[in-house]
Amino acid sequence: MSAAAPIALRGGLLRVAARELGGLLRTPTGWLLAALVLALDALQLNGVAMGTERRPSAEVLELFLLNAAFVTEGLGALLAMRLRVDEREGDGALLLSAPLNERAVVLGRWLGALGYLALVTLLTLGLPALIFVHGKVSLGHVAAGYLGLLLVGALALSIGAAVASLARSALAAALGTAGTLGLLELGFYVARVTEPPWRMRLRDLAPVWGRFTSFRQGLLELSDVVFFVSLSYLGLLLAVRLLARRRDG
Amino acid sequence: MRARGEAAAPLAALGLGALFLGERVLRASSVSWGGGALVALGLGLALVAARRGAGERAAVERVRARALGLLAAGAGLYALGTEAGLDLLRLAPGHALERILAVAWPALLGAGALTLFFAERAARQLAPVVGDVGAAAARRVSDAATRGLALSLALVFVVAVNVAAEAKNARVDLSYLRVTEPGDVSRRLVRALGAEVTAWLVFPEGNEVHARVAPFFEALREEAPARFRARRVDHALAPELVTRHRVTGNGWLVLVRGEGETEQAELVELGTELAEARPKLRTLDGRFQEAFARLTQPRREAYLTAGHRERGLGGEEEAAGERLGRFTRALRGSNIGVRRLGMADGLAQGVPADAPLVAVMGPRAPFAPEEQRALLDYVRGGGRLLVLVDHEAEGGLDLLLGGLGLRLEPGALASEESAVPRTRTEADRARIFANRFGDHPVVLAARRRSSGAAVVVERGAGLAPTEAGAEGVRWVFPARTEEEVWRDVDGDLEHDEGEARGMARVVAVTSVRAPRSERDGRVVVIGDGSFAGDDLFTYRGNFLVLGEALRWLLEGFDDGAPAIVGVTTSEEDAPIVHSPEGERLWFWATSLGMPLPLLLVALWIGRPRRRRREERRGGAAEASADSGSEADSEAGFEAESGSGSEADSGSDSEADSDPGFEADASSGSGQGQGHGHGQGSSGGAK
Repeated sequence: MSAAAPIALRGGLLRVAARELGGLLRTPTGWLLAALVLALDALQLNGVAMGTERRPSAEVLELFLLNAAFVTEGLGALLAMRLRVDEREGDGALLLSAPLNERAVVLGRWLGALGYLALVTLLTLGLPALIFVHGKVSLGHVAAGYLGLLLVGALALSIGAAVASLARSALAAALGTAGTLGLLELGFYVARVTEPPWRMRLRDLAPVWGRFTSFRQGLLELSDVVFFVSLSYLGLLLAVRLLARRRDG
Repeated sequence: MRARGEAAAPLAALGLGALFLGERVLRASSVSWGGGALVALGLGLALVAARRGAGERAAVERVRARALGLLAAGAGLYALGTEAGLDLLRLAPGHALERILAVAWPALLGAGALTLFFAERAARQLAPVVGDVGAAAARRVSDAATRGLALSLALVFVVAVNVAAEAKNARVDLSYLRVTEPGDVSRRLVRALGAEVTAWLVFPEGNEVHARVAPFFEALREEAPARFRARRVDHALAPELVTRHRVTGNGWLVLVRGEGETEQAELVELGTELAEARPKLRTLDGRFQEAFARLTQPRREAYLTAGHRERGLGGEEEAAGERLGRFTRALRGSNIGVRRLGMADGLAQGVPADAPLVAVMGPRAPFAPEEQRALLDYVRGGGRLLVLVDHEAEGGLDLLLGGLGLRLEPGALASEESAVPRTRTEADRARIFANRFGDHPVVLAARRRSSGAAVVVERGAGLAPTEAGAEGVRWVFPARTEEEVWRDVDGDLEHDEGEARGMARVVAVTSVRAPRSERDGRVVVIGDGSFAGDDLFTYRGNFLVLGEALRWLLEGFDDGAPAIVGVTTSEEDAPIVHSPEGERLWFWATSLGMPLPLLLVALWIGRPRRRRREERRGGAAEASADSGSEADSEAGFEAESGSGSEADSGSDSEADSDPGFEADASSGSGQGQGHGHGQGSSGGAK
């Protein structure tokens, strides 16, 4: 393999990512989706996190981040619709026939979607900023929570990429992603009625109920960061393999 | 023969199912053994088929046999890791090999299962196409098995990385109220331990409250690994412990010191539900400190003088910043009780002989001469005295201080450069810091943190020795301000002529010879009556100096164990509530005001599209053809996102934005011309 190959791969990957991100930002749907996420997060902050009780600011922030993580998972599932590469629809034929390998296609689309998700997530920063001003929460707590949100989003999108590689339609990709994430989250509750060691294992597989807990509490735990990064890697690897299989016929 | 090989995988799958049922559901060893036998039988069939097969068929069977071999090896290692297996290997529970087996069997089982699944799937997909196995088909099966193996290895890698991360986990607490981190005092209490103490965390496995408190105790354990232990135990599994110490259920911290007859315990309730435990977790450091100090520190009493409008004793009218809530909590956390000592308690007659410490906490009314003489006698008799005083005392302690050879300099200390900004007004000039520390034990802790710690005084008074001095008394001034501080005599907080600038001494310390006592008398004077108030006590330098001052003053009492005094990391959080007047504004500003701009952008971007759609509809109506508009309206998210469904979308299609990429693609696909690929093809067809 020549030295130019990785550069070419990187160039192709970034172009696919930029194309994906641009595609979302140039359409009304991308902005509508962002507005929806912002509205949902604002509503859940007002109606659920703050509610009508007197809650300490740290608890309000924790609740807000927990609900925001579920919104992020939902956004990831919706974006999975775009991660599907099918020669019969969208720009799938274009990508599949382009001189790009599967890694560039899958990673590029995933990166583009993650960029969009990150932008939308960061737009909601104004909401916890209000808790920050009036309460006793640290910037570090907010930063840890938002890092967690981005990691949840990255995982949801990588699961979306893998599911989309199997799905026959965009809707199936979204539903499949939502279902997979739902099953993982359900593991947290199933864990309560199981015995060790399954109890811990099932609980630790739940992205939001299990692994996001430390982030929403303002903690950065190496094990949780590794969980999100490694599972995102696994999802993307699976997506690349599945796409390669389909491309090979 | 062919059928025999193909039956191997289902047999092995059945065997694994039985193994799971036998081990996890039915707990019946016979079912487990049956499952194991089926896996072995499957492997045997595959091996025989591979041996007897010929040509490409044999190649496929070998792939199958290898996959089943991995699977069977995984099941075998699982069996060796069970109690019976370890007995067979004559290994004690907890042996290193047990851990290796626990990691190896799922890895092998997963690798075998995925490899087998991929190979079998490829073989079954190809069977109807090629009929019998040919060279190409065998290669496809082999490739599929390799893909499965690669995926399983990736899975093993991910699991291994996660297990390693769990084992070597690192944690950074970025929250405001660091519940997971013990404070300085808790750490010092543990470091000073003379006897072994065990912290039993009575929680069920996987409990979320335990998950939050465990790091707190882990951090404490690291302070004294040989003497402090922290262990989780389920209430149901520790009948002796819970009965002996009357622990009613899970959700308790039990601190145990000693053994057998001399065993002592302190209980702290935490709860098992996170929502209910939250308030208790926020004060965990303080609650732990109090319980731990009761268990490990000798009980001491401090006498606080009363009747002179001292800080913290003024009742409801007291300004919040001048209350001594934090200070008294810190004393309680060090197992130091507080008693009042005023005229009515006999102060004029003398200080009780058993009083290890008397504290004068910022009086704002004069002491009677008899009271001052009693305090002087107490110090000269080996007593320990803490005095927080400023000009608000109106000279009410001059007799006592003069008797010890000390005086307050006239004027309140003020500064522009050493001011601690709080209100950003001239009033801040009266709140100044002092960060020049000497070598006395009272300031050593603050000095170690000299990069950040400073003591803060508000309308403080400079301290100076009297010209006459006092017999047997030599003052040390271990905390001083910068040179540019002036003494504001007229109270206008402006530096006027006649208001001298110069370094001010805000802490004075002395030992007093006490010929009739085993101990020397000790005195610490701080030139600010509100130094220990809730406001100033939050400054790190203040609580470090005050904590060390109390520690130094209490040295030599009881069993000689050092008193450890300081603040806890427990702090009350600020509640967030909707205020009735601001609720409506807040709600609309966040719920509608923030998403609205994005919504407007969406409408603005969508405007040309809608216009074109309407134009198209108009054209279609004229041509009596409405099918195109339906296609558009059904295009949904995928189409709108620029996939090119709108064949005439023109300049806003994604493809246009990247002509180089477009050119590459179109050259290969033949579909990527212009914008009419993908869903657009349906539109085009119409």
